[in-house]
Amino acid sequence: MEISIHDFPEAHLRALANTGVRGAVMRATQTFNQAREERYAELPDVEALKAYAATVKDHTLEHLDYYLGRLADNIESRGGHVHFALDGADANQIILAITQAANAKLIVKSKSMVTEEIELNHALETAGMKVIESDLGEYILQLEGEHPSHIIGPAIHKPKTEVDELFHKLYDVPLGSSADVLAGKAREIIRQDFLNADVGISGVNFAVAESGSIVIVENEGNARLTTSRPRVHIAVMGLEKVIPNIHDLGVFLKLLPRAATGQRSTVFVSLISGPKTDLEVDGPEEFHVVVLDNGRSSVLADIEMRASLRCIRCGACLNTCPVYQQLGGHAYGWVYSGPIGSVLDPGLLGLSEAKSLPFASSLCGACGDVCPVKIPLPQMLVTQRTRAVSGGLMPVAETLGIKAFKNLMKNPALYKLSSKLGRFVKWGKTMPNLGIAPLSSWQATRDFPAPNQKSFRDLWNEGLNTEAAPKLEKPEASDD
Amino acid sequence: MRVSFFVTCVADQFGSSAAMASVRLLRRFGVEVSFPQDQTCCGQPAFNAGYADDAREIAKHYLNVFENSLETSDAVVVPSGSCGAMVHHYPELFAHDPINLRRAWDVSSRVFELTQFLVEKLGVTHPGVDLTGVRVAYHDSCHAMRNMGVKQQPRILLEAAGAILLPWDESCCGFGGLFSVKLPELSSAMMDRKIDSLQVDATEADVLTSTDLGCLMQLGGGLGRRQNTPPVVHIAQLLLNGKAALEARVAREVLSYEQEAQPV
Repeated sequence: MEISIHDFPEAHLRALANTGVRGAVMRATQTFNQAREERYAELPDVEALKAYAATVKDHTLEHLDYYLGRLADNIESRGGHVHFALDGADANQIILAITQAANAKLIVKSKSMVTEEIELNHALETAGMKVIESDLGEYILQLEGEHPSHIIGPAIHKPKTEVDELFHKLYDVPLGSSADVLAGKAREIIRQDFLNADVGISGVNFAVAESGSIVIVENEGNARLTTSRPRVHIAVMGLEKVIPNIHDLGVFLKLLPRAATGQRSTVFVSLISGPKTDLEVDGPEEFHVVVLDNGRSSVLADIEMRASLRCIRCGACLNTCPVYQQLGGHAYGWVYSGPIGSVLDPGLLGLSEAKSLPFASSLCGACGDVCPVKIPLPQMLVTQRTRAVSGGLMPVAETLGIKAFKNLMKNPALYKLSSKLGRFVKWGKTMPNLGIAPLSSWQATRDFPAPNQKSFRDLWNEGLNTEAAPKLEKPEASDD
Repeated sequence: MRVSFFVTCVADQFGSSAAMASVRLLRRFGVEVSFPQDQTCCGQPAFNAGYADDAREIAKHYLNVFENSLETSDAVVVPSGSCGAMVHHYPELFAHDPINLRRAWDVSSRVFELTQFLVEKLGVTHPGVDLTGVRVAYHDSCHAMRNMGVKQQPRILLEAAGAILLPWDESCCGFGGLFSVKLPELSSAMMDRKIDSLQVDATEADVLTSTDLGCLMQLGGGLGRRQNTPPVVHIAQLLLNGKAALEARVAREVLSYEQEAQPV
């Protein structure tokens, strides 16, 4: 994926102009939100469960070297192979080497954001291999040459009519066909690819250190086919995906589907603990796990941002974010969008690369409420902003404006004086638009009130301070 | 009970009627109100924009003023939730400054939003006015709700007076301080979502109210550009004046521009 994260100032305006996308994103996220709240509410104490999950993640992150070591040992003891990749290029090289050794021509993939992050498809295709995305949303995007706009609903930005037209054009499916018919057509086509593929590449939702298992949750069954039918299975994971043992998995399996799609459980949960054994009929002959760093260890070392590595990629913060709901994911310019993207992308790519993102928020705090692992996203957004300021990444005019504001507000005499001066001019009820920024930015769509004829301070000193208390009109209700 | 009134710079300049109504409402319940004259701003605009150092300097001034006034009062009451929430952020701001951290805890733990103070500290169950049948679109200030725990208190008072609370879009109004002018189109899109909901889901609303002057400035400013919109008043005006708060206002006024001469 081409990184266009610098473009946020323009990209978000393009997104706002695209009413089709905005409508599709708003509808989809509202559906997710309602389902999530219903499923959260069914749990006896969802906050306690979230806190437990956060604690497990924090513990694992604090002992990451130990748990990654255990994971690797346990996978290898069962005949799997574990590869540690420093960055995207490194990971792609490792995966390319495995596919080439397998003499692969066709590769099927199940949904994986981390392979989007490292632009794996591009690397494989450049080497002459054919790559098929088997998740329905991803498949549609691949046909359109687009990238996912949401962690779990990659194509939620696409109105169904566009999918209708695509399938009509490519496969002669009648326009206006139901989603089932469209999915059925895709299934029919991809089924052949599953049968013919040499290598299957999947992501990883959780990696259990003590059992050496990777866990994948999904609804379509394509991940299970991806990981079992081809001769070689490569699973790609960020290094933060590891959890200590199988007991912890239950907590995450309770939280992730509820937070993500508002399901009690996904349709499929696969635990994969190695290649096919002699006693098994199905499964890959080779099993590889690629563990990717790609900036994560610098986030790990950053004590203020470390908790962003708790993320289990549910997408709940995207769904609930009123900014994401307006823009969709593409405006953010990189794989991880929404509130988690706005704190994580600066960590993975560097703040100067992603400096616009922490400011793409009204700091409403909705993301912090819904996160299943209690990442303090609102606080982290402010921290990233503070770093952008101290790193000198802000416009000079803004910095000077804030300095002037500070000098005004720490000096009560100056504040009182300007309060008086501001009332020399007799404005109307609202301020006229004089074309002076930042006020004019406000006034493009909103009235801005003129100062009241008298400030509260004036009212207080002119009689309010000694005024008698107003009487109670009605006696206070005595019951309840 | 004696309280120091923290008017906020926004209410001091643009919402003096709301602030005055807050003082009168407190007095209605026997509260003795003082007004520390050297107060200015809580520093929220600087803090939220990432200017922590500048916010700290403003916060130190705030602590000086209110530490002093708390020697002769029991609590600080503020009619604007996000400004109160900012003071609740002070401990975070002084996390690496033990002396000011202590001061920040002492002051912030005694800062209450107006309706929160009435309900939680005074035990008020009825505001003392009649709002029977008034259909209210109440807007939750994100910061009052999430950082100060203000959610039920305003609803309790409005409903006790007989108001009917209308369900409508619960998302952020899009104000967000400097966010509103740094990304004005996005901020406006968020505002339009709220206002559209008001005109679709809560079309029969008699009044739009909130506990936060920032939100009211945003929503009122946007409503000012639309037709057939309900009046926008601060909750203190509604709880002090009851139905008179609606009659006295012209629809689409952002905040209250005209001064109220006499207490009700």
